[in-house]
Amino acid sequence: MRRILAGIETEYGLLVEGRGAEDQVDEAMALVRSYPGERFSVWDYRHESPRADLRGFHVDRLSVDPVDLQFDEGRDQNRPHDVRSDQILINGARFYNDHGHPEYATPECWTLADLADRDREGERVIWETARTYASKTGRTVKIYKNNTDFHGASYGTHESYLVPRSLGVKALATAVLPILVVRPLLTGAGKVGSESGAWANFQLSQRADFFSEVMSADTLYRRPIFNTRDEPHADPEKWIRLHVISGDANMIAACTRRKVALVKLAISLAEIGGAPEWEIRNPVRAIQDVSRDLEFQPKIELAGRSWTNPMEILESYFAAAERLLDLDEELRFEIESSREILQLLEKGNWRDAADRVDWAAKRSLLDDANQEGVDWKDAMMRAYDLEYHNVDPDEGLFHALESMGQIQPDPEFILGHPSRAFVRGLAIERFGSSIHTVCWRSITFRLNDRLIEVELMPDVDYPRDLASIQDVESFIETVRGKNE
Amino acid sequence: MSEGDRITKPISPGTKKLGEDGGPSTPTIKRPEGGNELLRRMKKVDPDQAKKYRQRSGE
Repeated sequence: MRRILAGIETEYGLLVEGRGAEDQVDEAMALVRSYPGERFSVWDYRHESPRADLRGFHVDRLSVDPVDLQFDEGRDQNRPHDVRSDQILINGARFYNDHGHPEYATPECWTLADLADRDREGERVIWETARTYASKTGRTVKIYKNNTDFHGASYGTHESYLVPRSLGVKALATAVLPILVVRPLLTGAGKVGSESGAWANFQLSQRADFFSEVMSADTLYRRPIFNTRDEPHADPEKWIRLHVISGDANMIAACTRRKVALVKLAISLAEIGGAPEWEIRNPVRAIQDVSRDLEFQPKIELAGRSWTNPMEILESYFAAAERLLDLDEELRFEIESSREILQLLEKGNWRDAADRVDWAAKRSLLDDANQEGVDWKDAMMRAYDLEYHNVDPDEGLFHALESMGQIQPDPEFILGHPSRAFVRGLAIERFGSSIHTVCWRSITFRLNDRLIEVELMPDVDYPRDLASIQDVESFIETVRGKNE
Repeated sequence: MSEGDRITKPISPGTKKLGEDGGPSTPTIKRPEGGNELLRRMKKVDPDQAKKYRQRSGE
């Protein structure tokens, strides 16, 4: 089966002592600019196209949260590059301000283990940056890797998957949408309360409350489960980037791997025409039902007056993948470990999954607090929820569980080949003074007053011995040679 | 709506265990002894932390 290049972008929650949401853009800009490590700071925006839709059209405008519009009154909107404050790091990651949230976009990775590692590396990057910023300003800075503020604002953890354009959006959506609807069962980060609809003491997903559409290019407001933004970050004739916005921010690395594995299975099955066909009647309602059913058996209505449940949908993908795909070791492991979790849930033993599923880890500690007398509606429960996601290793509740050995350590997989992110990072580290701009798909060098754009191919394994090249001309020539 | 209306029947869950195919097995977890770090941190959580926590909507 084709390997699928993937990345994760996490918008972190930011709380700076004495500053409010109205100051958040300024604070996020200043914070990312405080990054203490080596970086390059000019992003090439020529290839960005957030209003392009995979279905073949451009939308006139993207929906914006009306509350945020009030925050932006009087702000100079003419210098978006300054606002973004891009920092491109020597590991190939992009670190920037996205709508007031410090965002870490991992380097693109071939394997699940690489990607989960890079995602956690992002937590360390932002934490070190926050410490630097706190020291500079004298203010306490807290960083949360979550997706909600409990007051109706949500911010995303997005995944990107490189997919051949020839597959077509219909086949892709048909295969992926059911997985996105049921995935919170195995990968949700858990949440106290609700931010739409009836109160819930606890639900499996941070994000489920915030979806109102099945499919659209929007991301900020009126969010869809299946995002159709067409911004491939590669040759648009050949590739699309599946931009998944429905997932939760995971603290447990195994959850990150599982989250990505499930989508990779769906894409791979779609590519051979082997994806199970589930026509979910109301996907928005279904993902919210999955999130809120603590018996794990919500009825999911299908077209044709039929119904199913999340476990049946997940198992249909696992069975099809085993039957039809040449699975690698990582994906076989994820299928088997997912089945183990489903079996625990079926038996009602969800606490036994607390060492490998974020919502179960969080619910376990909250249940204990509830047993000690803290009511689910008490603000303390939401405070515990929030602090589970605190990235400070000395304060965060997840980090306490991990330090106590209550989170399953990762199995050891062989790390993947270097992707184009390796070339990007290496170029910044070695030849930063010769670089004009950088973006996901290319590096533009300035040599002897000439601009030379070098494409970074998303489907090429670049050799590690690029690191031994000493001069920029040879570097450019070698990278171009690998592209051919 | 009845059981008979269902289009797709349940598929039996797999019975293989982790590591049976020669792949990675579930690691053994070492449980440390000593004080409960989680409880220590939970006691320090500000009860109003989530009340004070207001964010802009992101993507």
